[in-house]
Amino acid sequence: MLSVTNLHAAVEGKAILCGLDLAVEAGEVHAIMGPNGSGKSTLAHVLAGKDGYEVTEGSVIYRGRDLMLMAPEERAREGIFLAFQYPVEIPGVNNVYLLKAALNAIRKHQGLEELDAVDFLSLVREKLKLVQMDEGLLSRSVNEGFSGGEKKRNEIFQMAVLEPRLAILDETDSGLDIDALRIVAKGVNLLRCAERAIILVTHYQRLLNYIVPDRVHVLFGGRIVKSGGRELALELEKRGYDWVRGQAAA
Amino acid sequence: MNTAVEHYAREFARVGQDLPGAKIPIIADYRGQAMARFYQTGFPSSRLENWKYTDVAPIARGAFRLATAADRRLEGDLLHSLRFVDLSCHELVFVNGQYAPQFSNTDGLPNGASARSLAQVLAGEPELFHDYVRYRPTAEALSFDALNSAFVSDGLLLTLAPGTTLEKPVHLLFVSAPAETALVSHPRVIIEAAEGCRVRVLESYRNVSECGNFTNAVTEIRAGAGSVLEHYKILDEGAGGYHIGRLSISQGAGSHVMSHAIAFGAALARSDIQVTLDGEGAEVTLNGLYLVEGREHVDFHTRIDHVKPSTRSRELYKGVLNGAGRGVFNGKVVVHKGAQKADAALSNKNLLLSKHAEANTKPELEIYADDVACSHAATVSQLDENELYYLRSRGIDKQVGLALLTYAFADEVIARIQMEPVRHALEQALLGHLPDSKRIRELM
Repeated sequence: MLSVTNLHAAVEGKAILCGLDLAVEAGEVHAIMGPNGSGKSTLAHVLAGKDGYEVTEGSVIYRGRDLMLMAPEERAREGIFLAFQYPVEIPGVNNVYLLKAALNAIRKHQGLEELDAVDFLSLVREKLKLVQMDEGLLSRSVNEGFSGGEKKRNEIFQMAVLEPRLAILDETDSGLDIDALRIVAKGVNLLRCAERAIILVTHYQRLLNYIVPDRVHVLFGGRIVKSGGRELALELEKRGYDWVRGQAAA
Repeated sequence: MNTAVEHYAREFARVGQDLPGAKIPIIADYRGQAMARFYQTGFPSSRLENWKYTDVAPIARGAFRLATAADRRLEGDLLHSLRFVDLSCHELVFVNGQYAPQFSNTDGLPNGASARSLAQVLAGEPELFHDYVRYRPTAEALSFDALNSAFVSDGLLLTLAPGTTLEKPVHLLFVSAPAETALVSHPRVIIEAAEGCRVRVLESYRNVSECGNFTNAVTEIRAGAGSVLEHYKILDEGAGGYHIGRLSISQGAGSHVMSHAIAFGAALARSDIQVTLDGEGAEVTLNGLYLVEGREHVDFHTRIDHVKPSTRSRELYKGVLNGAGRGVFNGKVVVHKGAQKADAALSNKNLLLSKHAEANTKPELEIYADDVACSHAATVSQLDENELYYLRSRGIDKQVGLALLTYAFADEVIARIQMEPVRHALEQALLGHLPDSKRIRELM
């Protein structure tokens, strides 16, 4: 589904990703771990298409197409979803309007019929239960005045409604208490299926107790320096990132 | 004397004798003195601090003919499109500044409320007019004000006896209609709400002419003690219309006034809004929104005087500036010596949508009391890249995202309007001024 080869990317002229390789297939859950500043969030935004994230070398092929040639909205319509580490507050733009516009833009692009208000609302209600979110939040402005936990849950809720092919969760676990973490993890687990790939970008092993990954990658200095199964995350937890630093230096 | 001023002097000589009440000495004196003031001051120069960013040369140059009762022609269908659909109201229509009874409806005004055309008052009850204008403070060197007084011929006198409540709002629809040449009108609105009244008044200024008419409007409102008054000034002069307006509001103790000023653009528009909180505990809220595109120019100068203790003001003005348009905002709050415990907050936010658009903003506080809470803020910014990215990452087109964020920015002001039919109409009008509005409408 996603094939990243020798990816180099810079932000404001500063090289952040330096030859990153990653292959993700449908049905898989990959965890990308790494210390602060290793390039985890940059990878997430490069995949989502944020302006100012310049790819200087390498390629990203998504479902057979060059992802880097696509505008952010086209990527979204092709099934890529980024759950933001810091979901953006948009005063005056209603949550429901955004979600309906997003869903119908994606459905239209994929040749599906747009949902009418009634069908949309019943879909939304069903998905709200998944993340135990209060329906009252829907009529508010996007993320405005939401607590940290509510924002993260809103991201997972959007993901549940939009049903992406490739979901990238950028430190969705950060700032969550243990109950919120469980709810978010449950939401993600319910979305796991054979057609969908999920990339979890995380700093801590903790999330992986709830969402068990198929593959774990360690990102350091803008490259994947170590890949393995779930046990790699546990080993990292035990040894700390200095272990990887030592290995990368060696 | 320059030719621009001479033009008005000639018009005054030409039509002065035909204006309502011209033969009545107190009215003739009132006009004559005003003409003399205008003759002396002329048009304001952009060397004046107050007019620094607004050059009235296009108005001064224009050879506008004074509109008279004969210019009251308007197609009924056209008129309908200018009304607020679904708003049940008392409606008075003015065509080129002249009251048009055939289009108006003031039935059902309750006892204690009286709405009279100013032409009728000037001719029939000149003392009444004189009583209401006599005590008004003469603002320093207001050329356009003097011009309005010199040519005052029509408008509205709305009086409310103590304790009167108007359930339905009053809509004053000023239509700038086509004629064979560009016209000027000088409407005057006087609203006298005695203590304990409740009233909502809307003034719409709509230009449907291609001639580039000039409207020079003055509205004076007195809100008696404990009264609750809502005022709207909605300006849609189109890309060709000129508008100069002053709105003065004087408030008694414990009165509450809410003012909404929405300007959808004009070739050149300048609105002065002056509020005097002249009674203890008086409160005012000023909401404003201006949109410019093309080469339009809209200027708002607001001034709030906290004269008495425990007065409160809240002001939010927002501007959306596109094309090579220009928005000017000057908001002044003066807390006088006797106004202890005054509480004032003023904010102006401008959104620049193009690199040729311009915003000039200047909030000012003058405080002469020592126990007050005052704040002011002004911003000029572009759309937030992160917000746009977030929308795009959810599949929303860049263009639609831009329009959606612009709408959201502007709607903060319109969303505060409580009368649903008015809010709805203004939101639709706002959408009409945005690109990709059709697709945003689908989202609403």
